[in-house]
Amino acid sequence: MKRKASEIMRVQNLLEGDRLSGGKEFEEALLFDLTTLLKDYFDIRENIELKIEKENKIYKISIGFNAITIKNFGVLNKLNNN
Amino acid sequence: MARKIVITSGKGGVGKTTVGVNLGNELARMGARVVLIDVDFGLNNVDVVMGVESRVIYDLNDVVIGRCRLKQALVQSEKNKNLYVLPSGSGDGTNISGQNIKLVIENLSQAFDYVFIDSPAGIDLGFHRAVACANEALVVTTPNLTSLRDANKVISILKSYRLSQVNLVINRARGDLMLNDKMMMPDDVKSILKTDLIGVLPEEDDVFLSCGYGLSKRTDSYRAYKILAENIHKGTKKTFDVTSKYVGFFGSIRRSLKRNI
Repeated sequence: MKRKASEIMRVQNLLEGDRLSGGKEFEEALLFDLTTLLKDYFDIRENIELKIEKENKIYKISIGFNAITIKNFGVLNKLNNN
Repeated sequence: MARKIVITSGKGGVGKTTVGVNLGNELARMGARVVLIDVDFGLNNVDVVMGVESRVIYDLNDVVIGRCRLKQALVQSEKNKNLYVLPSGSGDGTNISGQNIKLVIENLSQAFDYVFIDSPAGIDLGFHRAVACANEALVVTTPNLTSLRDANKVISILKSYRLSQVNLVINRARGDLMLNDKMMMPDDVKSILKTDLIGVLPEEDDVFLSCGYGLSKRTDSYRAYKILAENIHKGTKKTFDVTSKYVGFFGSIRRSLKRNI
């Protein structure tokens, strides 16, 4: 790729990262929290994939992972409000 | 009432002060009364770039604390009688509030057509103090990664000030590198920063060497500043084409010579 074109792409990625208030640190923090939460429900042995894409001012967030098992736990019935 | 225009960039060293002085010179040559206010306390240089540093007796700090009247602190350019500077002084300006500067500028607006506020680099207190006094902004950037990133941050912050105009000036543009595909074109920069482009200024030795002496009329920089001044004063939409002398047969020879030097 010519230098100018790669420079333009680099600038655009950099500015996009800046717009995602916090940039890379934001994604790392979110991934850490998601992993902690999802491990309560699933037996996960691999890394979780997180993708944040922006299209036409809308963020599209995709989370992907493989789980060995779904963890067993009971669910309390919702209390009636009578 | 004057147009109060802050000249800012985010990144230091892109040429804010130089742009302010040369633009002020050109507008003053067109007949407008122009004053440049240096609010970069501690790292002030407007007086040096204008070549009047030896004639500075009072500064903005002295005006604010009441040591002198505003008129006593203004230094008139020797080459251009319509151009004045209000230097900031070499103190750190911690005792000067945004309100102080705003009052000084309101006073100056009565007697001038343009008040240019030379902002310090960065986006901290000094920057906000400068922007709060203005109703328009000129964001100066160079076509490289770090400068564009900082300009982008400044432009985002300026949105919250609801200025009537925020315009972009590209400084240090190299036509030869643009044609060799090694530097971004002005249109690329404009679309990345999503801001109206009002001037393109070429990188030229004369700008560096003319510090304090004024640009030579035979240079591309002089022509580029003239176009920029017309865009601001008359609302025209032209920009200087920095690639024009590098196209064609002789242009390619010039490019080749520049590459090899």
